[in-house]
Amino acid sequence: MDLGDDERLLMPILHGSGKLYLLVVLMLGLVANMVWAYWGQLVHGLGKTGMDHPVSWGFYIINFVFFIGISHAGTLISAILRLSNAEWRRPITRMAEVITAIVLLIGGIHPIIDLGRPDRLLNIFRSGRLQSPLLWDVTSISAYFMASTVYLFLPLIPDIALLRDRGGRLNWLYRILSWGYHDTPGQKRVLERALTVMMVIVIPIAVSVHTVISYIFAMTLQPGWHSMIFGPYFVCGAIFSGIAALLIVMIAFRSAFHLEDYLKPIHFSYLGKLLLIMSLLWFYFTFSEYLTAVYGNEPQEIRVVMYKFTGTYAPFFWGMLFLNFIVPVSLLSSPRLRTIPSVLTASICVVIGMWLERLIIVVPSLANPRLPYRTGIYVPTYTEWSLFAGAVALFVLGFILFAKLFPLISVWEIRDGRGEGLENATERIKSYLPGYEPGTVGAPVSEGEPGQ
Amino acid sequence: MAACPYTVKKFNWYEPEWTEERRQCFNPDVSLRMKGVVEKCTFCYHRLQVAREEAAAEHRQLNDGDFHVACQDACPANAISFGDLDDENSAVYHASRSTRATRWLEDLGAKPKVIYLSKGA
Repeated sequence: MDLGDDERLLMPILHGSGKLYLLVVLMLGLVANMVWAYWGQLVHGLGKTGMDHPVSWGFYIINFVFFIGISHAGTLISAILRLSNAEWRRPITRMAEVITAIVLLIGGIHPIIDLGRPDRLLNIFRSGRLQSPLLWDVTSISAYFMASTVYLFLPLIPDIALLRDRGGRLNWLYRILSWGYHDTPGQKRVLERALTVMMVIVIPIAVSVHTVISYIFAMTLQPGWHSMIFGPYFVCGAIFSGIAALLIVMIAFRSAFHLEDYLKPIHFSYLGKLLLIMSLLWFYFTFSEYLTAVYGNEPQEIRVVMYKFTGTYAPFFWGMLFLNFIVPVSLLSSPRLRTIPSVLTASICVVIGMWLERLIIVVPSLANPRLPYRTGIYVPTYTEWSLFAGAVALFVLGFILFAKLFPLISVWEIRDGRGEGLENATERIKSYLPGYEPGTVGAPVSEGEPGQ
Repeated sequence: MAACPYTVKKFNWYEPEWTEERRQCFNPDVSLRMKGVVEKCTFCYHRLQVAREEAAAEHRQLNDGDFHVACQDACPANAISFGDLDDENSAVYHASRSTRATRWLEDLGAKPKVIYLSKGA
């Protein structure tokens, strides 16, 4: 099949470069270091980390919340864009879905590395309790993982079929994975219907995931955690950091494989706008959250709030506000400023800022127990930093592996966009106008083929 | 552990180490906990089990004072008592209903079972 210009979307699969392999080696080194550090922790105990009494949750739980948050990039954004028929989504959705699948896997491992006895994970199946938020968590994260991998796989099938038809060394793999797809109209209709069902299913699951993660905190009575707003606040922050991560990945991929033609400034401008909206929404939530705590002036709450405002965590708190609100708003609110470098800057700031937000949620509440116990500051050790670096390296490796096997921009969706997407969009816009009757200009807009 | 408002649960960050002297005083009824697990006071559950079995062997109900918790035995001032809060004949039933009785963080509604008696008559 002749792909024309779209041929270059397969370039990352067909060609390697020295720089890429260097990156892979570096990342493998970080992963090896992570395995070594984890082994040390397993042998000597969790005392190898900076966690202690009373701050018994540290980097692992922070990163768990952070990575799962990033995973909302994907499926949620791609599902919403697909559902709303946003035509500009076509080159973006695949990357968003890949981020979700990889990051979800990495995030999902984090609670396990935080266990002193990882083997006791199996107790969840033997004696899990329905009233425990931890069980809700396992349930909704595994549901999300299932749903998002299916949602990643479905639109991948036509592209795998494309790769299969081209032959090559991994043909056996593509033959298995393409499930006998031959792009017949019937198959395509089934695929599109399945995709529609999945995107409707995936949105509530995605929302439930971060809501339930927030419940781990909100269902306790701890000051700073026991907050009704936590569910939506976490979901908002998750989408916020997800968009930022998606933008970083898009810009990196664009410059690495010269895809300026596919990922255009308009895409970054639109996503940048979305990032701006999420930043404002995030600020609104943060403001409500802290105003309620400060205004109520309850001694326990105030102690935690002051720990963040003026105490040990002040640099992190104000840093978070700067990175999550001031930078994105000042960089993205003017269309003239909304260029790719400034979008990249804002995205990097948001990812760091959202990580700080997770830090600020997890640690201060634990560091200020209600009863006058010994308190302490939490300082991560080499073990935690190694595992953090290793987790990021795993993400990069997973992404490279995916890019070496499958196209990171959906080839068939781009092709559809040129054809029926363009037609349908023109038709749709015409149908908005007064005096238009369906059928006068062309066939009415429908999911299936014209005339059905 | 993170959810406990009393910060009373402890985690074994390392494999516990015991001196030789301590090793000789291990209670055979208590299994020693390893690294990587959470623990807290069990109100001497192993002693309760023994007392229950004895009562069952004698075909009677467990009576107040049938067993003591270890800290109760060790306390030279007899400041600690332990018993069934629901049993109207027990000492702790009356003590817990005295005007001197207070509980920590009572307003949270966590219904703690450790009750303190303030100074008084």
